[in-house]
Amino acid sequence: MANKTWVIIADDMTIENSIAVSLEAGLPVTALVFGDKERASKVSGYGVESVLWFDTTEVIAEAYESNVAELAVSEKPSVVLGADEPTARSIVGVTAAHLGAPCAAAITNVAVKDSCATIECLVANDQSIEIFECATPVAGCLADGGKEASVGTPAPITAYDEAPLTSIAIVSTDIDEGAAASLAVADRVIGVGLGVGPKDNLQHVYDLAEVLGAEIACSLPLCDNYHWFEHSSVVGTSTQKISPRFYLACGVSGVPQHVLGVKGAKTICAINKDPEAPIFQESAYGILGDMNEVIPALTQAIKSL
Amino acid sequence: MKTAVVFKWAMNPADQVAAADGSVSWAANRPEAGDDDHAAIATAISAADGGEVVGFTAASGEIAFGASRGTERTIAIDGMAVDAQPLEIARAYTEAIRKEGNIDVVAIGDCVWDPMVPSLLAGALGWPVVSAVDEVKPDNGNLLITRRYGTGTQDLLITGPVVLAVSARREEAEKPGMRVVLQARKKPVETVELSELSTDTNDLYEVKGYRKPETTAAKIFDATSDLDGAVAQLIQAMQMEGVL
Repeated sequence: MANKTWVIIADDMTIENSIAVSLEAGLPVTALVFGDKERASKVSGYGVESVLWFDTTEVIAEAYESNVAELAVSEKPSVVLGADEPTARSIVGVTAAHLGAPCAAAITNVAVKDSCATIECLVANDQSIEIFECATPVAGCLADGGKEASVGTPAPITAYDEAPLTSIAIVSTDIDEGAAASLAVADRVIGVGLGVGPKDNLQHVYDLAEVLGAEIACSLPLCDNYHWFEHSSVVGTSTQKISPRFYLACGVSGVPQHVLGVKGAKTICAINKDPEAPIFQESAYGILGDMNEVIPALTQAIKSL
Repeated sequence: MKTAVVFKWAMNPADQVAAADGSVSWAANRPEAGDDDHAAIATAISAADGGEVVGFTAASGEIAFGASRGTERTIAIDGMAVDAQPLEIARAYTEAIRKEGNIDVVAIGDCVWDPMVPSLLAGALGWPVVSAVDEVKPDNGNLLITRRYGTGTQDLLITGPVVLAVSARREEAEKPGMRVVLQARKKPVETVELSELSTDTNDLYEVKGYRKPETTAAKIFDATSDLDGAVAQLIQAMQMEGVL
């Protein structure tokens, strides 16, 4: 066993969290980075021992699934981790199957001692942490949100120079430059749910978004049932995940499908008139009250600052 | 093309009950149809392009879920434990698919309830996997796959066997009516015992216990009795957090 942790990184949103959990396993970390050189350089500065960079500017990362699996069989990492996003999951899972590694999801903590891994992961809709042990190697995807790695001395970057083993051609790429793109990079996001009531009340949200400099997201029913928003504004498990600096959930009940889409937010606040609303369990702060009374008052108060 | 779809394979975490001390038990004893299953079935049918579509599922509950949406036959695996680990689930369906033979494409929901199973299934089959799949179209013996990519989509062309982890964007538009379901129940179902599938159970983890997650109770400001006061408190909190 190589006594290393591999962390698979294929997006920018989850770099700090993926590395933080990987480092806590207690073994030197090699980051396998899929993307452009800029991403590899960013990753190298977070305390990993080394970076193996797969240039995916013209080839999709998934074309390297078998390459990574074969490399893992050869180099025998003790732990293989990745964020809970499609590409990282694909690579981690294929690698785990080739290694015969026990695999879990929603991992919050990994510790390795003498070829024995102790893993903690969230279960029961995040109501409990399951603790399990196994001999290494072990693999899995990480829970959203959580700790973040600190910047450190840059690690050496090695470019992977073998051809991908799977032939998957990119025919076309169509990136949404509208709402989804804005949400993906927004520092502040206001989420709107069914608690908004009549459509006219959305104006309160628009006014608050303007003074906060925030983008607006919504829960799925406001798109699918009411057609008040485009699909690109929906956040949740079936649509998109975001990780803004600040997420204010207004009239959002907090069903798991929506909450999973915003768990990466640094600070979550909620406004809801139901004291039992699940969203309060996911929030750092909340206001108990009717959002259509609270939001205008909040907007005015912020303007007065 | 002959395709397979794995449906109603994952346990719903909403059926896991956490006690005050963090210990967990299952309130249900069988998997449920996931939010993506209907889309996975549609994807398998599209990829088959008129060829046979075989459904694979757990042998309990409404097995006709696949048949009522277009699969011709269903292979139901009996004996999977409710707390089966992702690698166990993947290996069981891998062996069942291999035993069926001549499958070119496997579609499965890109399921948030058990997100590692699709890629483990692919790895066990020795096939590539593409996740977050929206739809597929056959293309001269190849498969044109549209998947979610960043804030948009990406079209990919692949030749050869592949696992497609399908992610439904919306709820099923029109569920099959009772007449369709009753007809579907007449389609062939073959039950396979898990013990017949020769899956390796050595590479599993051992659950040692549970605990409650560390949580900090939210600071709730009551606007019903003091609107301005609650707003002021939230603003102060936002300033402390560096948001304002």
